[in-house]
Amino acid sequence: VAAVSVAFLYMGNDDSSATAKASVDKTIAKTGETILFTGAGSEATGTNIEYQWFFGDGSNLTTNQVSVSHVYTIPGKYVAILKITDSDDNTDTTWEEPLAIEVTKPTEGVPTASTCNGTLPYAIVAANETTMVSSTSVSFNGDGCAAWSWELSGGRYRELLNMKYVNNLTWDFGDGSAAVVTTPILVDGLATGNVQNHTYTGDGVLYTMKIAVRSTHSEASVAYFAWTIVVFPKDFNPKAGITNPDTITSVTIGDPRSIDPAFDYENAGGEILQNVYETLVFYDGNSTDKFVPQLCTEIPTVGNGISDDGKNYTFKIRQNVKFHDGNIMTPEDVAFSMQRVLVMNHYAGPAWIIGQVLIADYWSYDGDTPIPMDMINNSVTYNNTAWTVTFHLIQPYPAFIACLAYTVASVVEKSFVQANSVDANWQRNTFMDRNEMGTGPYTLIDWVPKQYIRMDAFSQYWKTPASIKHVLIKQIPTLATREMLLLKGQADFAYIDPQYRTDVRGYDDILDIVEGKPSFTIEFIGFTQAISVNPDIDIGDIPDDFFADPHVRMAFCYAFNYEKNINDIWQGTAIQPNSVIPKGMFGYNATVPMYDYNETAVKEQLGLALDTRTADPTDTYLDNGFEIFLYYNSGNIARRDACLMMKGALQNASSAIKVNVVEMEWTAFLDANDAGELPMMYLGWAPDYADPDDYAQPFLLSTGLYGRSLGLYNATIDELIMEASMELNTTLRAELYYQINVLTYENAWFIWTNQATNFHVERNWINGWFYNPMFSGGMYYNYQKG
Amino acid sequence: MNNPYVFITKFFIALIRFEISGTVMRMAIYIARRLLLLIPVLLGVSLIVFTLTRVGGDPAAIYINPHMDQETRDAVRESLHLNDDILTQYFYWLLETLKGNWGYAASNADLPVTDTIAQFWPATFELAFISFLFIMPIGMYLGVHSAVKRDHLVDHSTRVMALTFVSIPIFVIALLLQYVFFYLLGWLPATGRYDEVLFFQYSDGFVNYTGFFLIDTLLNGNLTMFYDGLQHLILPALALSLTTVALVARLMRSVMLDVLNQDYVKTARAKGAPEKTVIKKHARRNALIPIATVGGLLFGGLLGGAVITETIFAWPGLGSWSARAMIMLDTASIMGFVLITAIVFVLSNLIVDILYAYLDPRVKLG
Repeated sequence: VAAVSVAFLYMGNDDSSATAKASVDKTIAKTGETILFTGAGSEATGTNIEYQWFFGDGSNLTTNQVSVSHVYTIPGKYVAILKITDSDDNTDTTWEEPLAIEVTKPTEGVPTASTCNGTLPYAIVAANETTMVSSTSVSFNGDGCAAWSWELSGGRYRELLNMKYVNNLTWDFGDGSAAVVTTPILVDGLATGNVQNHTYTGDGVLYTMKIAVRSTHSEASVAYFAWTIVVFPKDFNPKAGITNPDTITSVTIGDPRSIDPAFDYENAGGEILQNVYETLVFYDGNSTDKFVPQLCTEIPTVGNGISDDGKNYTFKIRQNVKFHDGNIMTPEDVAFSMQRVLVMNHYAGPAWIIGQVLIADYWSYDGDTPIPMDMINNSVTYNNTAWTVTFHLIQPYPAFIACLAYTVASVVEKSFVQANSVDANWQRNTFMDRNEMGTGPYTLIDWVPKQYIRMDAFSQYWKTPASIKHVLIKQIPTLATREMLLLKGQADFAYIDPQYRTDVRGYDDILDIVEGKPSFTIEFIGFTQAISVNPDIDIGDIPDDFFADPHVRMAFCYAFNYEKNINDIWQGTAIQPNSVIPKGMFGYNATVPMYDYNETAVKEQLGLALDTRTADPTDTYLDNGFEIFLYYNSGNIARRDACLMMKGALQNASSAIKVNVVEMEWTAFLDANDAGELPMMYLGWAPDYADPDDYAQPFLLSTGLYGRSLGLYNATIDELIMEASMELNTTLRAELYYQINVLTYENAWFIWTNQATNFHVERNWINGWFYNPMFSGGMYYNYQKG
Repeated sequence: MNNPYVFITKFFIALIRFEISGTVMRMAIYIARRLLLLIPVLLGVSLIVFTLTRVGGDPAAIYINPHMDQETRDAVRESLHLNDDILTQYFYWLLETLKGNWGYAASNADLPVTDTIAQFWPATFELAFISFLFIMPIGMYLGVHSAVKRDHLVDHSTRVMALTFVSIPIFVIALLLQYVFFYLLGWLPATGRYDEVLFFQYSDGFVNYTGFFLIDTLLNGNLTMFYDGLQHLILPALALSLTTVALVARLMRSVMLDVLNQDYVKTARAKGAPEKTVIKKHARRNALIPIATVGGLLFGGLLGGAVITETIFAWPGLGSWSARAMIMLDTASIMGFVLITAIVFVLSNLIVDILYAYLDPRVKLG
């Protein structure tokens, strides 16, 4: 029986003259890894300060050193607390901000036939509550515990991880009460209802709850998992003053169009999708180029899951994952979900993201010409006994993992879709637009259109269930009302339009603001190198190949006042991009050169640009001048002002230069842009999946979306883009994008005007929020309140 | 409410069966005649709405939602007789409309327009009803007192109040109310029909019988939510009322002043009737007639939804929906909105007519 470990803390009344502050160098660690705890930042009197650390695993340490290190030996979720005592015997304890540390086992591969029975079992426990006031009942769920065995299954011997190979579970609640030993409960072969309830009492105590899992093979083969249970002091209520501590309320604008992952292609729906559904892989924290396995058990790499030619991706599917109706997710569900997207292949949806990778001649199919069923079936195959799903790509595409992190690749339950579809072809239908059946940490409870969406934590989630029980996303159209709700604490998150962000400044005691992080939206001006002249659209007296001359393009690049554009027009909510690849994305390289605002250089470049309209071969545009029309879409004041600044800079170069800034209605503007009828194209671009290929192809490839209408062509760049899109080695790939961007700079094809940055505001009682430009709104599983 | 024709038929049957006596019978015939007169009015409205469906775009698009397959779409076109002459088209359009097929609302997740109206109308009705309860008694009371105490404190303060609230745009009033009563004082909730988080705790087994939140909470015996619903109504109802209360008060005052100068009031006073009787029985009752007209139109207007108030208070009513439909050029919803507004107006005018008969004996019933 595991030793009872109790760490009692004397609490009493803290003096206000000391303030304890604790932090760690990492909140996620492996067993055996050293974690550095520091009390730096604590405020106390005198030099003889005593730091008393309670690590949450039963051990504690009293020291005069500011920093100490500690090693956790058992995987688990720990909470650490610091108490300081200063020279005047003032004390303070960090009850308000306990440190949460997650300790995991070092990664282990699947055992082999010979090692299987000897491999340690797998221990994990879910707890519905871990920080509480005295006399709270906690429910522990051990359904995730399992042990390995080499077993005959599905006609052959395989290594299996299942609770039926567990001999017993030992539940040690850590408060001195006798440990409980239970034998596994299995229903239809699945662990179900292995639950223990325990009531904790105390006054400022940390308990360590520990489970021991023993396999049937040997009593010595035992795995542990621990939880720190925090019982707050009687005179401390962590949730005091917090409105609705179990619920996160977000007030925003914009109702989802649909919550069918195969159809929805906008942010409001994306926010629901990323909480109720899951994809095989997902972004690792705030990273946009590192991925973690989600519904698969490991990210395939070449040789381990990815075939040597880079065209076949095999994913090992996670077992014991439940859909919201309690059914187990199978590889068949995964394959079905992908195939359903391709069958539906909705023109206004995100189907192309996986379609272009999996289907030959993808763009030749549309609503009238469906993708042939055998092609779809062959593109994604599954094996229910080996628990694998394999994607068959038409050519190597290293960004494929990124594509699978987008909500289009969410896994939805096959039997649920089929039971609720109007026809066997799984077409878009009203039911799936409004209902979900995913595996995500939240289930959709209620969606009252234009009012609110309610999601509740899924109690059978394959990881620990979410700490926030309810999520409420409310539609509040008026900005002032959203601000009042936020300041009053009725809302935890509020959408504040960036230009009004000063409204919520100066509330440091209740609000946290995170801003200035780069989004992936790039604004740009492209030069039309061969203008297709439309008699209805005035372009001035410039020739249609005006921008074919690189000196002209460079002159314009130097004529754009980047700093003023960002500081005055964007009020500091943007940064200057150095290329098509936004800052923060894989492939971004800070050393790519960029143009700056330089009136001398404008003159210099125009002096080198030969005027093709005259017979004299030495005449330049600086000598002769020119008249040009710059267009922007009506209502976009930012673009208008940017054009006006450019006008000033160009006209300063020579009095013979005349620049007109003209507005154009949005649809006409888009049409004229598409047709290449405007001298310059001023637009913005937001990505679908975080990969530079989603920028390089449309912008720089001669056959790409913008490349075609702007008339760009550079054989080297074309070649590099295609090479980069297929390169599997990331170092080489980054180098290729660097070359592409330097070449683009030298060719001065575009003015990269600005990359927008984020603005996020939340009540400071919310913890766990972080920015990732690829998220659509909140990832509520990560958050805690209070 | 489901079917007015059943109601009318039953009404006539009741009339015959019970041989209702003189006045009531005459009143019933009066109402019946008014109801009959509604038919040409509604037909006129239907013509306008029908024209609306033929302006730009495919008239069948209204009746098709994105989930229909080609066969269903063809069947819809067939049922509308779009290849026939315009009169036939009108006939079949009218038939569909009477059957309750008002098309699909792109502005509300492609649900049928009738369902959409059923979804949003109760919220608007509750708000309109409560506002109306504020407006009429307070407006009339202030008006009568301003007239009686002409150029005294009541009169002046009512005038100042009236001018103030008529001049301030409603979005300012609405935001000010939120700022004072929600943000500063914390007395009343700012948005929505109810507190969702509270509702999560109390919604177990909650049945939506009518869509009217106050009625449903009572039917469910859920007093906590009923009280919460009432609290949520106060600020939007107040915002809607403040401007109109002032109007009603000003109108009531001028009508009342007119009446007070009439000979029969002088006569009444001369014969020694107490001032209370003079004002209440002789003057006020006569002044009510124009107020009833205004009140009817006002209620009809309120039932059409209030775009700005509903938007600021995030009130899920017809007003915010219709504004959205117009921005999205959702013809089916606009058509449905025009139809329901017309019906509501016509019906509220009917009620006004009936009130006339009650208030003014000169209105002939026969």
